[in-house]
Amino acid sequence: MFKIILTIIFISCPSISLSGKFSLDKFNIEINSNFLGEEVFLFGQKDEGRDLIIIFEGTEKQGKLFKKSKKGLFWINDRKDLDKIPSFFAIFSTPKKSINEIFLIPSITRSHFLIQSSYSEKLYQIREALRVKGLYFEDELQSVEESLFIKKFKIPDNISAGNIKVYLYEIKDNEVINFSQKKLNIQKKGLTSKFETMLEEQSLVYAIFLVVFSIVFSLISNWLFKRR
Amino acid sequence: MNFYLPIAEISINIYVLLSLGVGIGFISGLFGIGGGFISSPLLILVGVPPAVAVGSTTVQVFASTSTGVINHYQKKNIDYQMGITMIIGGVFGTLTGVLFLNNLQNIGAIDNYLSSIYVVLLLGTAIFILYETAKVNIFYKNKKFKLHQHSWIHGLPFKFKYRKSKLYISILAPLFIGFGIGLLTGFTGIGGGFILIPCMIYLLGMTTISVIGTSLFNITIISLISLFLQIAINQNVDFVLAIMLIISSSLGAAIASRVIEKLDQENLKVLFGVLLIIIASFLLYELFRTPNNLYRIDYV
Repeated sequence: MFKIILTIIFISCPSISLSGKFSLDKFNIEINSNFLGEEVFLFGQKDEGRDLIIIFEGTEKQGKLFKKSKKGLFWINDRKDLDKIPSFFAIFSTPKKSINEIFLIPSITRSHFLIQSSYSEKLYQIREALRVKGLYFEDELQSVEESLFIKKFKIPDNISAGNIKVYLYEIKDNEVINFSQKKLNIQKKGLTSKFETMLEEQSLVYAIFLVVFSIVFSLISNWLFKRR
Repeated sequence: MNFYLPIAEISINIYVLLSLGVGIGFISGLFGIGGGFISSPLLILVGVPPAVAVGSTTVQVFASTSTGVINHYQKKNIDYQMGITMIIGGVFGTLTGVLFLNNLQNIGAIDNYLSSIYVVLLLGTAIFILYETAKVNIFYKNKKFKLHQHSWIHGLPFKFKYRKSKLYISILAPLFIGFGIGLLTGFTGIGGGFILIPCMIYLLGMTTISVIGTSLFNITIISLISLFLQIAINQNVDFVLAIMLIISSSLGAAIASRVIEKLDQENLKVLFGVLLIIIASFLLYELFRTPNNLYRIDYV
């Protein structure tokens, strides 16, 4: 059934480029006022005897990592400033390779900050913090018959705008023998985008706009509700 | 049905948000308060980031008090001398509060500090309301009280004549009260009317006629200043969230104005006190319980 669906998708969607051996059902996601996160459908083909590792890595941003620890009665946050944290990170593999196995492939770990060959408590904490926000996944690609795979996952509503790079590694005997890359573009659109840009770049205009709106809205609401 | 809040960067159920707004407006309407000290903690409890809850509540406070100021301006119930003195203190307080919030946000301690302050404010107000209700109805039934008695405040230097309120007191007292309320507004987003009004009556000795108008005048201007500072320094005001709160709380306030005459005021006060204790209990639980997640990332 899946094979038929995938074959139909491959044939009927010439816009979906299939360079390498995987694709996504969409390459652009728009964040607008109705955005509640978006399901992405990853699918492709794999050669027999080879494993696949597909990594989604979002734009790197500055951030702060907080770790809660109990001091007396309170839970206090310890802070670490970080220069580059991906806005999103997902690792899918077939058959499921544990993260530790992927760590053993240096050509992959060299290219991705969040997965390093040596164990790092800090990286573990970052992954856990991202996982809590729904911004980090480790999962298995679902095999369909022998050579096709699919995976459906959700880009959460707290995703930041920017490109998510999608890397496909073909693995044989723990060596990368083939590599391809695509981009999933996340962009803020419409009113949502305008508000955020205005707040960042023209905060005075944003404030004035908000003040005028709140006065007008409260006057209208008062007038409406008082008359009924 | 969920709705995306662009600055909070979360989606929230629109019915939860609207119910919250209506509830806050209803309580505000019943008790004549701005509702900020209820809306901030409730927004945090439903998952809005604390800094955004504070910033957006400031807008709601501004909106809910600004129309009241217009009414009191028309009725000439505002003591501008007193209001401006408190606003001068309030400007410094607000700036301190907003910078303090910014600092706490940077060190990641905002949730603990904010929740602790809300717990103190909510429990303090609840105890005060319940005590006052009990005092009037149980302890000293049918006895008359003096609203204002002379205290050490009236011995402070730099005295000034406030003509509208017929007071001759030190400007230091309203300046400090204004500073305190501004600090509270900048740090927690609340208007602080429930603290300001008792201070004006019991500490300064103002007449009740001009107290409401003057406090609304002070809260409106201070929340306006706080709003600008929050946007400039913390960038934590969510337009969509603020507008939703304004509209829904207006509806709640309108419902309250219809039912208020049918309700027993003393029972309402007790109910309000109990409600505050319930909200404070939830915050206390959140403050001390073992967190589900030990790690958190905030992007800059």
